[in-house]
Amino acid sequence: MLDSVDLSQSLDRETYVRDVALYQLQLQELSHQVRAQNRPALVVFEGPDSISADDLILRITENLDPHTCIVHPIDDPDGIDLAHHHLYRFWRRLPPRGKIGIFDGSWYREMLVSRVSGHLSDEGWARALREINSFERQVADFGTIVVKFWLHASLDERLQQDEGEEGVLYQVWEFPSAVWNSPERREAYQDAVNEMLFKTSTLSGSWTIVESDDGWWAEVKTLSTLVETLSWALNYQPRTLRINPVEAEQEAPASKKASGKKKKKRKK
Amino acid sequence: MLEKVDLTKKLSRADYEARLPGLQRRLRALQGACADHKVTALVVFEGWDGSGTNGAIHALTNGLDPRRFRLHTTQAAQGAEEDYPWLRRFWLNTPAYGEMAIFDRSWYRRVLIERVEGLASEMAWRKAYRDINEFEQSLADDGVTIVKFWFHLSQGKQKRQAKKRRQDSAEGGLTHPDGWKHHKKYNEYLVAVEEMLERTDSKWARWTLVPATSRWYARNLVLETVAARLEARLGDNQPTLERADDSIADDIRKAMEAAESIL
Repeated sequence: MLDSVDLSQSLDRETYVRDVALYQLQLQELSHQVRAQNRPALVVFEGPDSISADDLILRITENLDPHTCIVHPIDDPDGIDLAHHHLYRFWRRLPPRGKIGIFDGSWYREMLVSRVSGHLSDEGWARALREINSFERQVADFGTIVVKFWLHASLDERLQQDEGEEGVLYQVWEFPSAVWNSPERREAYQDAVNEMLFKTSTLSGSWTIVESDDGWWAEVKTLSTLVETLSWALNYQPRTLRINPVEAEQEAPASKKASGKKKKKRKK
Repeated sequence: MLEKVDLTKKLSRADYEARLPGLQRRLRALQGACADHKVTALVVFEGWDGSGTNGAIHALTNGLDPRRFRLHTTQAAQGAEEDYPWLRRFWLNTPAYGEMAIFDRSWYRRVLIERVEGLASEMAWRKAYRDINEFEQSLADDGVTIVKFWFHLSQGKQKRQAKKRRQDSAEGGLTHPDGWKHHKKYNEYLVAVEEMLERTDSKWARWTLVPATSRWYARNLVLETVAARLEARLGDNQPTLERADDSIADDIRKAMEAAESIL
């Protein structure tokens, strides 16, 4: 699944600035719809440790009314969470009606780490997938809008990022680099991720793969996906979406009649 | 399913009181062993109104170390609880590893009272069976021992018990404010109960049917069942039972009874 992802996509500065501004405005509007319609929304960022979701989350939240969203950083469980089922802490942190809950890391992290490091048997892996699907189904049945992002970058990109720190090769989830130097481990990792993406893309919530080699591309893709999903789920077109800047530019030299036709079409 | 419950089963008060101290000591020792070996238990009490679940819960918790069990009573979801998926409030009350959680009424509310009284939509309660089974399976796979009791009474017995209780206890009759209205709908409830037992009796969370005509019999059965299930789970890690002197506890109870009769 991940092999077929085109990582070469990128954005120039002009497009990036225009799109970020547009989508942030739309997101603002949609976040108020979330509140007005009293629906919860759940946004998940997941991926190897070497790709950070910091900027993506910042682009989402920076211009949002802070009443409408809550961000949960997910590290290793501690305290009372350690003494319960692994999904307990996520049940606790679910967004209530009218709020957008953003998870930096999620219920997928532990199972992937233990799968790749060989601590999770086939049976345990199947159980984890089943429990997660059940969890997401119940959350979606309640009316929660579920959006899941898998961050994916090429090996070269990750090498560049990591070498800046301590010259570590292909570091994923803070494993010692020795683990990642072995091709079998990398393959096990790829297999686990592919299987997980495949088996947990359900009606309740499907994955969007974010090509993260180009930071700007990744940010715009996250924002636009979020806007589209929310807009579809809430059955609400943000006002600013009606003037699509790309279309507007193309239409500008065209005759008045042509633009009139377009308007009629939209009314239908 | 429920017609198979033998409602004539009885245990005399004297026999029950003779067994109780031993049973409670056994449960206390088991509880200690469970804490040491991280054996987690979840005990659910469901039953007809007035079938004596409260007394059974009291008998169960009486000998337990209060630091290691939690008793949760379940009523209609209210306030912030309604802002989340319906099972969340029960997830928050799941027992920590090595502890015991006791639910006086539970998530089964949804397929019983909420179904019959129309408080939940048909789609909501129909979906609930699946949610419940997956919830219990997740916990059981995580090592939680789940014990579920249904306290059974026939409609006639429910009425007789409640009337008797109205005379001789402070609680009086049925506990639910609409208890008597529900009593009239006994047969509607019976359909819901049967379906619940059928659809949520899983190999990871069995129902134990308790004939509740004799409260002494019911209490004894509850304590025995919980003890047996914990013993089975502990396997080789059985606690050693010390012989204790019950005479002091006996004397205290007698003194309490004497004081009560004066009051």
